[in-house]
Amino acid sequence: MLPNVRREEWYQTATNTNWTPEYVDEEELFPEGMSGKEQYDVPDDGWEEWEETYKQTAREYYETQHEKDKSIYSVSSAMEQSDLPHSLGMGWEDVLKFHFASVPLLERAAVTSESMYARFAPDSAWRHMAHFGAMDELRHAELQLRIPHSFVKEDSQYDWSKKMYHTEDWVSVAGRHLFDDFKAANAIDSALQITFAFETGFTNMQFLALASDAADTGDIEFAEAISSIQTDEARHAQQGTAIIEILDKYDDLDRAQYLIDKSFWRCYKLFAALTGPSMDYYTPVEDREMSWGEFMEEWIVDQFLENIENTGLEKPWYWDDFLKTIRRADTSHFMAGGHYHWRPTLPVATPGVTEEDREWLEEKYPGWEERWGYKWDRHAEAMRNGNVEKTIADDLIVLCDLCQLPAIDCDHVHDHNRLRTYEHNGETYFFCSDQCQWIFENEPERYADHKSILRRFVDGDIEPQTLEGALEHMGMGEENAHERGIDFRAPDWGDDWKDWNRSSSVTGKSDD
Amino acid sequence: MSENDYPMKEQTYRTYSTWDERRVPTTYDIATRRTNFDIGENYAGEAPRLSMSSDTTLSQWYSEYREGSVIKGNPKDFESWRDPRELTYEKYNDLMDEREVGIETLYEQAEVLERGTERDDDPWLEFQLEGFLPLRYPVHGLQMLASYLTMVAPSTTISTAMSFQATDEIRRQERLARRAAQLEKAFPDKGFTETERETWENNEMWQPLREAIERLLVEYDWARSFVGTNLVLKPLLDELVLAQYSTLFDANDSELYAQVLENFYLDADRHCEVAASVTEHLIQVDEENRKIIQDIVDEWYPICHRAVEAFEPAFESMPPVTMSFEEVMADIDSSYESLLTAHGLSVPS
Repeated sequence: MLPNVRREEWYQTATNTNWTPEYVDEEELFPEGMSGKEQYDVPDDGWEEWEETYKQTAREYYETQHEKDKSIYSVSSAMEQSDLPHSLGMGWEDVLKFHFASVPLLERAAVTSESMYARFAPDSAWRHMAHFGAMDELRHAELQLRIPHSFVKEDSQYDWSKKMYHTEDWVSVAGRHLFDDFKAANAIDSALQITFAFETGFTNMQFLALASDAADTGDIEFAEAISSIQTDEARHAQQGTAIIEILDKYDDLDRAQYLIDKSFWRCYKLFAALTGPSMDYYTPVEDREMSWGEFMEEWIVDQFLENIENTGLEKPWYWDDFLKTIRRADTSHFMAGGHYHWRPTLPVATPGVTEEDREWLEEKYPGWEERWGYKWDRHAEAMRNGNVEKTIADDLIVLCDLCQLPAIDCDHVHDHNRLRTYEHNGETYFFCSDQCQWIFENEPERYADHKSILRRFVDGDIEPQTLEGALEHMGMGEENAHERGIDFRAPDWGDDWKDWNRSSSVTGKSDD
Repeated sequence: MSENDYPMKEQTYRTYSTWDERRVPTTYDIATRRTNFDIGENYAGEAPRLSMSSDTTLSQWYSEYREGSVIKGNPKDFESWRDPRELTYEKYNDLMDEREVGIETLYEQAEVLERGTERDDDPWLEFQLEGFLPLRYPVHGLQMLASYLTMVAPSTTISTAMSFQATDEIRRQERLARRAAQLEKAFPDKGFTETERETWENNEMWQPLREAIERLLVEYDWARSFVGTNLVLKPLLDELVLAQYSTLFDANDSELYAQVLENFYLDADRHCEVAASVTEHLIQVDEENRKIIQDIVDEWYPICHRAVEAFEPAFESMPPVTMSFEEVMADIDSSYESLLTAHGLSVPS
């Protein structure tokens, strides 16, 4: 018998399989646009020092992943006989619908990106690790398509779990714009944005913070599934740190800094639009422990700063401003109002806010009443008067030409309700924030051709040029009218506010 | 409309509405089909469906090598290919975990039985050092090829099968490295783990294979890459380095590792089945594809066959107990011929 060897005695032999090509050119084998080496000052053999900490092998991968799946799917099958998640109420179901509509196909898109690194990344150990990343993402897509599939028999909005990104719904347009931006880049640039900013930065929020809400609510299946997903993310996200270590060694962090400043902001905007309202408005109030703002501070700000400080990177240039923004979370409150007002465009049943909601929101976000309460008062009044239609938008709004979300997001402190504009090749582009404008201005050619839904409308790409036409364009036409968002508390919740005596200090800004 | 009616709960579905076949979808269909949103056209009828400028490398790459492939068919045609084993991620890991446990059991049994499962004379060690263990380099190349096909395949079904294939290649690559490390520990200073790269890059026997791998790696058209890899190189090479090497190891009193190679061969068998099944499907989609595939086979066969033919010394002169290479090649050629003729294709003369 040959002697036994421990993993650390053979792992490097397994993963150091770079060789010098002889029959084809190096540039052909690792084209610059896919590999990205020319963008950085690292010498060719510098990349061979690439090293991450997990060093997972195929043998271990099969075993642990098999175990993880076994445990998740056994919970799932045990839940089949239960009335979950429907018994947990429409509010929690909104959280699930939003999550499943926006997450699984992005995970599948990450399979493409990870596979691109597994082919074109400049080092064999990185390619090896990246392939396990691709496998992880495949798992996440599969898991998060299988779970909601069993719900479509009860509620057709879950159909969007697979359908969302095949439509032109505004969430799909915004989600794809962000992910395509990270994906349509060379391996190094892309991995910095996806594995460092997106995964080490934000997946904690979606998978751990939301799992904690799920556990409180009693949705064991969802809690188990997404926390299991995060264990994979935590591993393959290490690619980003390993890249930054090499760049740091060669004193070449400028480009990485730019990409991380850019992608961190982009992630923040999207999560504020989708996850913020889920946590602060849709999770039943009695099951909310931390607010989106608190989760952001604990999970994102502290941890991301720690990650940044472990590298030679600096905080993003907009950091101080960003901290003020997330404490008030006005983007997210604005988006929650937007979800409600434009609810026919969403496959979730967005509810009006209850008295308990408002007390909770004011407690978590002092000043919420003053800034946002009056908007909900107006909706409540319309409800009381039997004017449900008045609570639903009949117009379109200006959208940011970078993040594809509303270009005015009513952050009074940060002047975000000032529309930013920029001229490029005779065209005027609109932005929600200095950050989005900064990203666009850095690479206008990359972004200029993309048309926001509003731009399509104005250009006549959407027919008929009515709200119905826009809904049809978004995949919410007449045939799918039953999938459109409704207010599941309507009209009764309006009565909650009959005797509501708003404090005289409320200013009631008319910014919409 | 009264909002209390909850229309989304009144009008529901039996399965995802993206499903467009009459039969009931399986778990595989639910998890795999139509999951890549950048395949197909955007709302304005342009492909690929990417949000960034069409000048970005990825957009141009897809246009040229995915949408612009030599093979005929549209996204729906490609998406309707199904893995004959309906492997989901869950099923795949379950299967492979079992397969790796199988290898461990082989080792444990050998230990219990205290069988002399390893020959350790110099010629046999040298054969492994120069004729076998450098294989982890081309196997890494095969992983890169499968990873490339995962990213560029025109359907999520093909992409998913390729992702599993890439993991299989990594499994081999790791086991080969582990064996090299074991041999290094048992027989230090022979050069195990240190000299394989040098052999791969300079030893004459390996050069035709290196040429085939390198050239395939820059064959970017998805169909040409797929056919060249899965329908030409791998069926020939896997037959050589897994099936025939297994016999060679057995003949050289290395029964244990002969069984490990057989264990790997089970993966190769699936890769070949995928190759055959995708080929069959493409021909069903458009009969013209038969000729297109044949042309790709004709183009890649000489270089890939040469890669395999170069291994004569590994059978006839390097190991202590030799095998007739003529018979080895006859076996390889005959299984390759049956693979092609089953699909109305032929082996180039």
